[in-house]
Amino acid sequence: MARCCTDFSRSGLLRHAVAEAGRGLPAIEPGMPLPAGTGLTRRSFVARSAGLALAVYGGASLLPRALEEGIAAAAAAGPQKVLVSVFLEGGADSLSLLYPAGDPLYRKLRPRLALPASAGQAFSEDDRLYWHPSLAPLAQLHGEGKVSVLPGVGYTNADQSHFTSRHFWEVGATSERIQTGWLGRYLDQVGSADNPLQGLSLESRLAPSLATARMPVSSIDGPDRYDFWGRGVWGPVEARMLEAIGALGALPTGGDAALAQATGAARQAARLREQLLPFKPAKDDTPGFISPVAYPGGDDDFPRRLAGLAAMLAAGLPVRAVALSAPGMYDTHDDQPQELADGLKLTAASLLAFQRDLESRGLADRVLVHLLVGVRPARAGERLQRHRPRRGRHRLPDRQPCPRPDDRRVPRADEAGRAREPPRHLRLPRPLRGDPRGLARDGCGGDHPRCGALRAAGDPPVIALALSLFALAAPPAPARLQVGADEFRFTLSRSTITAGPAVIELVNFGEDAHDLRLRRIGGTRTYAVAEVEPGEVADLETRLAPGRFRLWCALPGHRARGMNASLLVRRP
Amino acid sequence: MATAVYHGPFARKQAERLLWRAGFGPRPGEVEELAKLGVEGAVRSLTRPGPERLVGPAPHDDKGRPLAPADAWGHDHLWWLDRMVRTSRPLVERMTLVWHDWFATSLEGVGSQRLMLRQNDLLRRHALGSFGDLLEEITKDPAMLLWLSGTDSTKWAPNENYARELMELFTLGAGNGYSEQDVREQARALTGFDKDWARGQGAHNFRFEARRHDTGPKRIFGKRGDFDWRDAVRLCLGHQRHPGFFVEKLWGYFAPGTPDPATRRSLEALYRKDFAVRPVLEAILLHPALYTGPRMVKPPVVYNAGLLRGMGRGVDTAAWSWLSGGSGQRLFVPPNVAGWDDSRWLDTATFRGRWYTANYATNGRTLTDKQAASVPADAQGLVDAAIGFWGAPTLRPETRAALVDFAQKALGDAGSRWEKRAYPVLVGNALRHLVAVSPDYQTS
Repeated sequence: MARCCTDFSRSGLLRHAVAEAGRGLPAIEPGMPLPAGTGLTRRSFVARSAGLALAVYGGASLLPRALEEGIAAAAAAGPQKVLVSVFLEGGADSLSLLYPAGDPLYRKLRPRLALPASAGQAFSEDDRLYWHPSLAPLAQLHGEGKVSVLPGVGYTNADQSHFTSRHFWEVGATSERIQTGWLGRYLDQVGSADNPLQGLSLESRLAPSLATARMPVSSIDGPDRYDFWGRGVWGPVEARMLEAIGALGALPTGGDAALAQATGAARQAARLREQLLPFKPAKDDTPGFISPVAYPGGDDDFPRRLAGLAAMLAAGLPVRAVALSAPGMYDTHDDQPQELADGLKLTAASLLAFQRDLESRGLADRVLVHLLVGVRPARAGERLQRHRPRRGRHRLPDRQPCPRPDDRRVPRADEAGRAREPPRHLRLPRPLRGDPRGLARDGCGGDHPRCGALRAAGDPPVIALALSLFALAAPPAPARLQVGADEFRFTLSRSTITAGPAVIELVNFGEDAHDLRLRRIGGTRTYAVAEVEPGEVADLETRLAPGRFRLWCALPGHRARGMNASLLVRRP
Repeated sequence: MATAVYHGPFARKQAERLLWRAGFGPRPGEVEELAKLGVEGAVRSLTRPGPERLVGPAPHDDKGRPLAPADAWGHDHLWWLDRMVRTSRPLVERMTLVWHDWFATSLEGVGSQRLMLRQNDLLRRHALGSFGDLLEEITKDPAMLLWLSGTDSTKWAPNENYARELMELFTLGAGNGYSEQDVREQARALTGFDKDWARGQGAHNFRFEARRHDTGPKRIFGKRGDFDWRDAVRLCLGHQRHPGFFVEKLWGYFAPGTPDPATRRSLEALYRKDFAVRPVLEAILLHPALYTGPRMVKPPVVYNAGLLRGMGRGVDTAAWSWLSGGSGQRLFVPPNVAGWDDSRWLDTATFRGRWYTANYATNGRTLTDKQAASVPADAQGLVDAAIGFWGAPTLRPETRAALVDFAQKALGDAGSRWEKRAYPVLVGNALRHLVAVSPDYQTS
């Protein structure tokens, strides 16, 4: 699945950067804006943090001091302030966001990604730079004096380990030993021992930047999605059970670190559940809050999470530091300008809505949003791409699951919620589990049609009878085929399947949406597996007749670019 | 100098911990059986098991159909989970999981469940064998070649991915006895792997292709030679820092923290002989630290398999794959090549994942009012029944007291005759959830 970048890529840029490292990063390449805080004093950074301050860190990695400033700014702002750190995963860098349109090197190195000056708005602080067109909402906020930019920040002596580099910027220091994140250390200083909401990771896992040494922090998918229910438990007993989770969290640990982790998780889960009770959906999937402004629609979690965060802050929940990832992967591979543009657009539009939401709730002076961009050393590009999170798939069940219009997400909580034992007719009835001869005597009369047919063929009738009963009890398993899609090809888990019932599954390992069509050569019927987004799965249960089938992706241009394959369906 | 050996009592408590650390928890009765063997016999029964037998109902999906591990999303996870649940050789499966974390390869980069399963088979074959053989095999394993760009690395454009992880994650540790120059030279030594690609079939015919290999001289760890991929592996194994890295990393999977210097030296000496895993593993499992030291949080998939083993349930729903993901460990999809972070299994999100894992485990076996007559009416009896439901795990007295307290309060809320009849059933169901998420059961 490795992709190669024959043209200029982020890797190339960084190799170049490393070559220059001896002469001092972050002079990443000639023509780039001057580094760290150029034209911007710490004072103006802090002053702007009264509105929406946006720190764009580009280049090889962060400058730890700048982060310490961010921490200091947030800490100095008093207990009411909130620092929201948005991470743009992947390879977008300051050149993608604020591009030096007139720079010949930029055009040379990014022949396909380079944008002309006419595409974006000029950046008022530096006439060499232009905002990426998708960032118009941020340009607008910048015009209002609510965005600060810190381009081209890095550190010296970078090695090529992407774990090291990513670790450095998650912990906010150039040390391999530090196990806490930069936001986590801030919370260790100013946080309280019983408030998991103070550090909030709006993802399904804890963001490493929020890892603390002492203070509790939490990770939730959204404020309206943190609930526990017990099978066969309701009413007052349920209320007692939920209370008891907190009691388990209060058990002594005798200084044992693992017990401390387990009790801590129980205690924080119980507390978090209580804190989020007001946001619990009143009914179905309706969120327990109303946003005063419209957020971008669609099924991406990013705007929903920001909307929920604004509602939580408005409700006075004690949040101090928040970490979440922006949508998209921000790769600068040459076939991905559209993905970059789409991801940036949704990010910027969501951030604008969030800022307007905060303004209308009178909260804007409490919240500093910090956008971290582009810290990918040479090899990591390929890796991060591989590690793209599969969004929205592992959502845990809500109490009252509601079918979503988009049912392509597999496995969905509400589907899995119907998990049950196999239907009775698929399980072997108890009398049939014994000796087949016994079966024949007890189980079936002689008028079974298949029984008679087989007997006529001269088979021992008793066994034949048993076989036919087995066939009734457990229908033959369907043939199964998995088709993996990426750009722009299909990979089949097998080249041949048996005719009859079949489950054809489409898994999207790629970065664009794909669908799947099948048609037997000489046949007229086209079988279709619906379009699936990256990281998602869909399947089709059908019956296939013997023959050779053509498979293709019906999205415009995909078949011509290589998304076709063939499958042999053999007679059983 | 021999490694210290545990000589204290080997009873229920010690046997139970060993079964969780070196396997996936006990089936009913297994703790008692193991305790009879004494610590050495118990460890040997795990490190030298007989041929594998799969005990229990065959796995199937929610529709009762057999699993299709290579052809259906999530079934790879279910297939391995089933093996963990039903195996008679739990340590072999546990070591396979250790190697999956050690050589963490992800389906999301490989894109073929079949190749992931093939790698899994390789890890299982070498589970307790020679680390040298395992390292050589994994270096040319197709899934690994795809994952860390081995087949994209040629003498014309060597790719450093595998070379770096070979040292940073697999044999030496970050920055431990190698330089950036060594990474580049190792990358050259590792060039030459190739594959074919065909429409529909994808990547296949993985092989070494001499014309893609850089045959020139290299300088690695201060030694000069026309090194190739086997030399790259051999040089890492022979590196003086490797045994220390190996025993410390292996130790960390079975006991918290790091071994004390004397233990570390004796384990290193044991390992240096021939890079065999089994003797080192036996020494670790016999060490007093395992029985007298602090607890460890059970990894999510161990927790899940253990719930099913304890209650005698097989894999009968596809929910386990996404529940395990929600608990922080979807098999075949580690977060990155460094594997899972064992130090932070539990947070508010993964706690919730474990809650629902236990919730699903009770599915179909929930107590209903039809069983009201057979459900104990008192708090103590209900707590005993709930602990028994999971195969009687040991809980500390204070944990048991907290559960009894909950049960008493909840039963005390019942006013009407109807409530008095119904509440024990509800409390019994609630207690099953609470036992399963108790700190005692989350750790071993």
